[in-house]
Amino acid sequence: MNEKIRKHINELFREAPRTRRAVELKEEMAQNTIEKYEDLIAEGYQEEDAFRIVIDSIGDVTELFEDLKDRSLFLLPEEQRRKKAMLTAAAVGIYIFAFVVLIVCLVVTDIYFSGSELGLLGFALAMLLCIPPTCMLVYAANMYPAHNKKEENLVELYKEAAVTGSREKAIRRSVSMIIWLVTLLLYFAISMKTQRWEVTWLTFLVGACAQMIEVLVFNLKHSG
Amino acid sequence: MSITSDILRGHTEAIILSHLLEQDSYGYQINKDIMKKTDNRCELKEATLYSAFRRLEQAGYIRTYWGDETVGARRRYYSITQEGREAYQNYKRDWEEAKATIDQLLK
Repeated sequence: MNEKIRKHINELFREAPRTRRAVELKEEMAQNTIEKYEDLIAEGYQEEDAFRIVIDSIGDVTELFEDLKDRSLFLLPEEQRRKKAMLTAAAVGIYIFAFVVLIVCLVVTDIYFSGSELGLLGFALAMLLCIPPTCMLVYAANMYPAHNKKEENLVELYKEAAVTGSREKAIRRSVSMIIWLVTLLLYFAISMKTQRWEVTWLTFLVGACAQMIEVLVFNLKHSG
Repeated sequence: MSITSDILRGHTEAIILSHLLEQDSYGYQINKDIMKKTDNRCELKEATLYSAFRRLEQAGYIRTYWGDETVGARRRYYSITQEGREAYQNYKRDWEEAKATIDQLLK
């Protein structure tokens, strides 16, 4: 019967926020309820009656975690949030490092080895260096916990949409950031290689074009 | 009867503090004590009790710790703090005043 009481209380806490305090409250409630149940049995109540009495006396628990509910919907658990911040910081750091590598290679080529292919090598190296942070950003964007769908009601659908929405937004943000960084790198690489600064600004038009394509792809995916 | 339980619910925190003045206690024991003192006429819903615990904890009037029961589930005990004692005294004074006023008005 204790298992039945625990099961019932677990059910009551299904919508509770996933926090240590919620777990403790559940444990406290289960312990008190079971103790009360045992007292009723000792007084001579039938098992079913005692069960009904203790369950009735719990009352409405939703008020206990109602105010935590809305916030917890959009918040990542503390640990994941820290991990995400760390990943993002590391990714940005590597981007900057890649950029510095490129500049150094180009400057060194310009000064010491004029006409050699070191500049191109530097560009290739910078592009390679851009791969890990890009992967990290995409991974971090996907770390929003996917909402666990249990009931097909409006509230659940709304929650699902809210979570999916913020995840997609995060992905879109990182994609457009990557597009602009690559554009910038390309601009400097091409410009320094060709030394035709009066034409190379067109790179940014290409970048804008890529951005538009990205928006289009996302919108098509959304409507489809 | 419904007036009684409404009024009681409004004083849940004070009732808990009063109980904890005597000794550290846990949810079910406090509820049992309320039932005993009122000859089984009153009992708090557990949800009411726990939300009062949380409020008192946040205000710093009570502290909580887990018991070390060896048999069965562990109990979560509460103890009153110095601030809690002071708050209780203030509350008690306010209540005496309110009681006197209402007695005067309901003659």
